[in-house]
Amino acid sequence: MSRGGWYRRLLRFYPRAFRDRYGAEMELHFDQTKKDANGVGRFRFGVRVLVDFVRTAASAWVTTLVRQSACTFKGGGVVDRFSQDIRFAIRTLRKRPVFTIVVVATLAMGIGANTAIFTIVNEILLRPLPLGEPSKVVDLFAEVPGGNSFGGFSYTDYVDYRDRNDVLSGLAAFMGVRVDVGSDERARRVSAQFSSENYFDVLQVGTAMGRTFLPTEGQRGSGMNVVVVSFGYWQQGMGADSAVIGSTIHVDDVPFTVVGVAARGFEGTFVGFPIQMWLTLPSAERVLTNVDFDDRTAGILELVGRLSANTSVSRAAAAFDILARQLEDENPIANRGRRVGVVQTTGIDHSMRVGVTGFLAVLMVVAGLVLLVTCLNVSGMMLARSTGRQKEMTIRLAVGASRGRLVRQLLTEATVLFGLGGLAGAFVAAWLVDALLVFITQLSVPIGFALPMDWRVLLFTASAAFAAAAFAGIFPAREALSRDAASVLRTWESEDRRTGRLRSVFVVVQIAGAMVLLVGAGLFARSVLAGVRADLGFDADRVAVTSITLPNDRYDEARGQVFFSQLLTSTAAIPGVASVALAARRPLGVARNPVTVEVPGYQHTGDQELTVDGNFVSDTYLSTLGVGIIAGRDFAAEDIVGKRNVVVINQTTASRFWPNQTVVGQRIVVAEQVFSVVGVAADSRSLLQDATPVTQVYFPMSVRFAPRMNVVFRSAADPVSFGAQIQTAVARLDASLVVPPPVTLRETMNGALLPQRLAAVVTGGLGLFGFFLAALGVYGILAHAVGTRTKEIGVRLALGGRRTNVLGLVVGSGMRLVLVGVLLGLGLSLLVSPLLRGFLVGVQPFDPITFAVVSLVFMSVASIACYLPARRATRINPATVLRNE
Amino acid sequence: MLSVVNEAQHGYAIMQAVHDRTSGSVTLGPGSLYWAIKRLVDAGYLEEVVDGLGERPQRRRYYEITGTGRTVLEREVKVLADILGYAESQQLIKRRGTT
Repeated sequence: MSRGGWYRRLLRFYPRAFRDRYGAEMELHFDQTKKDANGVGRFRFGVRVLVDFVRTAASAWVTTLVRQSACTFKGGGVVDRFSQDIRFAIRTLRKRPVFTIVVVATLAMGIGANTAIFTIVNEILLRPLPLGEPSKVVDLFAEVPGGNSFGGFSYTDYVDYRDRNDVLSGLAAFMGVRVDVGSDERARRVSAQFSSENYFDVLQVGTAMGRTFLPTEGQRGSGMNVVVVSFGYWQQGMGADSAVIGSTIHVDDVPFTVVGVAARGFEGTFVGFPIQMWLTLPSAERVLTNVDFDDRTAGILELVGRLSANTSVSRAAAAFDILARQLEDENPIANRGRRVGVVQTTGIDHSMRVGVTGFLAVLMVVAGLVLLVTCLNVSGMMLARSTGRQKEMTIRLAVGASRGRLVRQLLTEATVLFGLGGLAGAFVAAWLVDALLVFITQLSVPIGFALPMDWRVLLFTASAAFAAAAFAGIFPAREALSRDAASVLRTWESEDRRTGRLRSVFVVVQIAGAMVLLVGAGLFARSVLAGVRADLGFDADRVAVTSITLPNDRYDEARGQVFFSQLLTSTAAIPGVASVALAARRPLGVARNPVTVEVPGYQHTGDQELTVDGNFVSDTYLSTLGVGIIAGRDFAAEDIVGKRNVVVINQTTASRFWPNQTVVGQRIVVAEQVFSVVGVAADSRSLLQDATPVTQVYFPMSVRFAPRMNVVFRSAADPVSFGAQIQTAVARLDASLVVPPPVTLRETMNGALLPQRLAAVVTGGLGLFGFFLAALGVYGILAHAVGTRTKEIGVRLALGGRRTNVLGLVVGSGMRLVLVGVLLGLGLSLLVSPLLRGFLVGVQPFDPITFAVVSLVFMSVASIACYLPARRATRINPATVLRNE
Repeated sequence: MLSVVNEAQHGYAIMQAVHDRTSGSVTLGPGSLYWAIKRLVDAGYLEEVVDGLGERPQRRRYYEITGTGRTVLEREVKVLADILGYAESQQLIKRRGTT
């Protein structure tokens, strides 16, 4: 569908004469105005055009119809009758403003919540990446023994794969980094990629200004530092300066020439992790110090390719498997066991795709449940109203209106209601999405979503509204018409009771639906709590991490070692800082750092190499984190200074390699160097995503120099508040270095609970909404019942019935519904909650506490909904009732 | 109608003129604009014209005020001016030209 196509479709609903005369021009006008709007403005523009359409189409039809009916008494075509129905429906609804407002507001919430969630699903799963022929683009991932998918390819492997394969028309490499852009204090940390020169060609992404990379710029040793910035960065970080091409920016203090601004909307190939600039791959060797393009073991690159014509993903995968084996034969040590996976590029890392899709499916089901509850609620309200309109319907039938005509009339009323609800829902959704974006930006994780409401979202809203209208309108319509005139007059009350029964069923289902939502919300909330309280093996609240990267034009290994040891001394001297340490890899990172080891005397099964998770640290690392030493000793300062070949291992490593043996004094071999174990540390969480401890080995940082180190420090006061002091301490050593704001490990951990947190907030909010609707439904039924049973209650009271009995009677009949609903809800929750198992942390799907608390809260609030109409019943004055008889 | 009093305009230009004159507070959607044009044309206050080049560009039409339209407009403007004059005399608003 073309982008402006929906307006052309709308035009069909204008009267034909008007459409023929002005349609083409209106379309042109629409196109031109649309060009002026952008981003959020575009959504507002869409809504404004819709409102404009509804208003003018209605008056155009009224005028046309008035003119027609003046000429002829004969009914017109389908559209004319439809517009008659609409006008009649609007008139009817205007007579009952409170009913209309309540229904529209309810629908707006239900449809709005659905649309908001669909907007997320759309952004992450449905909207194709803005690439040329996105279905032809594939991600290649390295399968490394002992590693996870966050490891990558070496440059030499990349070149081999690129030049030797015959299944891709192009293979590009990139390396994601966070770099400081600008100089000194005004530097900003941005997400960047070092990309091979063919990156934009492979993805078929153009530029808004300037050009992409030239082949010569991709050659190692060309010495050319050029950068392409994203459209968003150009607008926000560079003030949309039109003279930006040719200007110079400093990336980690290295000057780069801006050659282009990427096409609008392109922010790399990972949804949620927008890239702000692309630098040529060879310049990585000049900016970063820890890259070695000649080292075949350094998995630093990610690969993305484009399938050549008539090649399928599976054929490409087979071809790369053969290539990977060839490379293993040629480089038996570096490439041992290495394989390559090929999957279509979807914007989500392949290892996370199943999880993300499942999570979004859960959200969509939650939203669907809310829509169901909303529909039932509205249907109940319409049923109650249709009971009051029985006479009207009966009379219209009696004077000769056809049943079909009346059904259409009732459905039209529902359609108008749901149309209004859908329109209001779009606004609610826009508001909810804004709120969600604020929620996401407050989290200290570098993710970003645009969440635009494109035509898919609006189409979804419209379909949801109309499907709901059909569903909610059909029951009242059937009820109103499944009787003939005589029977209505004869059996007035039994019909009323029948409608009442249907409404009761609706309420029971609503309660059950709301129960399922609240149980889900409860489980997610308990997950977040469990995650927050999880024992990480270290003091997460008082330890924060920041990082420092030494530029390699000024620091070689010797100078770097001196810098880091001075840094340790000066930061430890900051008043309030209890302890400082350095580590090559930060605690709670995401990428595993497999180190291949040999353990003399250990029988390794399996053909893959023996790997452990390694980290290179200062002597204070474990004590700063608060990780205890169980046997032997911690590192000493001399271990670092003297570059001694000693390691501290964690408990899991100890019990794996040397069960029931003395561990201290044992040896492991790494790259033909022998290290002796001097201590065993308690297990602690290594990677963010590891729920169970892994084999961790700590090495003295001096045995392998890394120019990028993480500064880990502990303080009694909030460690984040020491950011400025650490920056000052670093500046005293080297004024050009930038220190990003420190983040506590607790914050990092909380960021990892984002899905659970989001799910708790979303299901909780929607669950409460459904719960509120269900309570309203119970209240409505009881209030109605009390109204129709006034006579009976009056007589009971007159005959000496006690008011408490009356109270019990009404509350009891209400609570019976609630109880049935709650039991049904519990049953459904038991069926559904196992599906959530994959998303729950530290809590079982059948968590009795959640189930009990939700049921209790439900029952107590519902009892209030029952009590209010019951109290009214006890206030019935028998004398008045009997007098009225 | 004020937007086409001096020269024939096409729909989009009319919308922009209204937008500019009201400092952006009034934006006519395509529906509102063309429904208004239709009624003015039906009433004989506006008419469609062939553009200055003598050939009509595809899909774009120009609208010009007719004699009747001009008379009606002048009358409306005069009524409005009278009301404005009265409001000024009652010091409800500041006199035009003074600050």
